[in-house]
Amino acid sequence: MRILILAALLAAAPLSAAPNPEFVTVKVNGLVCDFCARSIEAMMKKRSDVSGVHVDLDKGEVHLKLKADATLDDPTLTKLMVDSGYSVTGIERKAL
Amino acid sequence: MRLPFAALCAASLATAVAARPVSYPGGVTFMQELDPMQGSALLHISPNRHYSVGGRYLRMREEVWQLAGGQATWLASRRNMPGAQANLYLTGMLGAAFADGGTARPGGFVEAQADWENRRLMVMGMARLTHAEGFGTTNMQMGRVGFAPYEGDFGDPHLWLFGQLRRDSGSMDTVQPALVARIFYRTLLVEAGVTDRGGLILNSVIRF
Repeated sequence: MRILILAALLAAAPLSAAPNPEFVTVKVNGLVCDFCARSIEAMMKKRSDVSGVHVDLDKGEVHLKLKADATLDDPTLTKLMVDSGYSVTGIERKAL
Repeated sequence: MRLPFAALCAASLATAVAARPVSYPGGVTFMQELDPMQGSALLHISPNRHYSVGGRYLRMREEVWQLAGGQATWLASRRNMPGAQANLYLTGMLGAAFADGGTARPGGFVEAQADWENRRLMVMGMARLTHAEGFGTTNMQMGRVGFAPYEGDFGDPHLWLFGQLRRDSGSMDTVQPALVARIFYRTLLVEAGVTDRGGLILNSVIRF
């Protein structure tokens, strides 16, 4: 019985330790032009931990889908946005 | 309010397509401009978000001489506001000026450009001082006011319509009005316009 419980715990451990993919909303100022906002797409495509990028020009938001093993923290994300030409006013994260 | 006003003042001075002459770090951009006065091609790269460097070829179509050399543009100021953005760029170019088959001589220009835009309105202006040994000194100013007939979403084709005024000392100081339409889709931007004398304006920008 103990072996069965141990086997079950070992099998479940990698699943419970693995972080979920994240959906990140970055609120930015200055986001008015599609042509210019392509810089965000280009900057994010350089990162292997970003699996999707969408820009909402109406709301001034950038939506990112991060992979489960993503290491993209808020300071790094802010720097990427600033390098893309925009000012970050807020970051919201939600596990998928 | 001060920034739009400043941009409007700059616009009253001032043409060139100039859609973001400084890009994101590593961004490479090709810009081409053609109007009755001149034609030019510029390929530049932005090492960081503050400046770009590249090479430009410029042909003065009325005076029939050319300028080829290196160009650097500095993003002197960017103001990101909720729903709007304003920029000030300073540019310098240095190279060789030559007539067809003639000897190359030193030449270049300095330029200032300002813009303000939101999703529906855009104001931009620029002023350029060009000097080339043997060809003299000219100055040019251009301004544009434009609007977008609709607010496209990210990924849609976007349309802007501009009214443009341009004055060039190399063209007898006359102020030349023009109407220009700008269409862009993803990383390709194309402008087509016509001056009051029927001159063609054709500009394009490709960001790689």
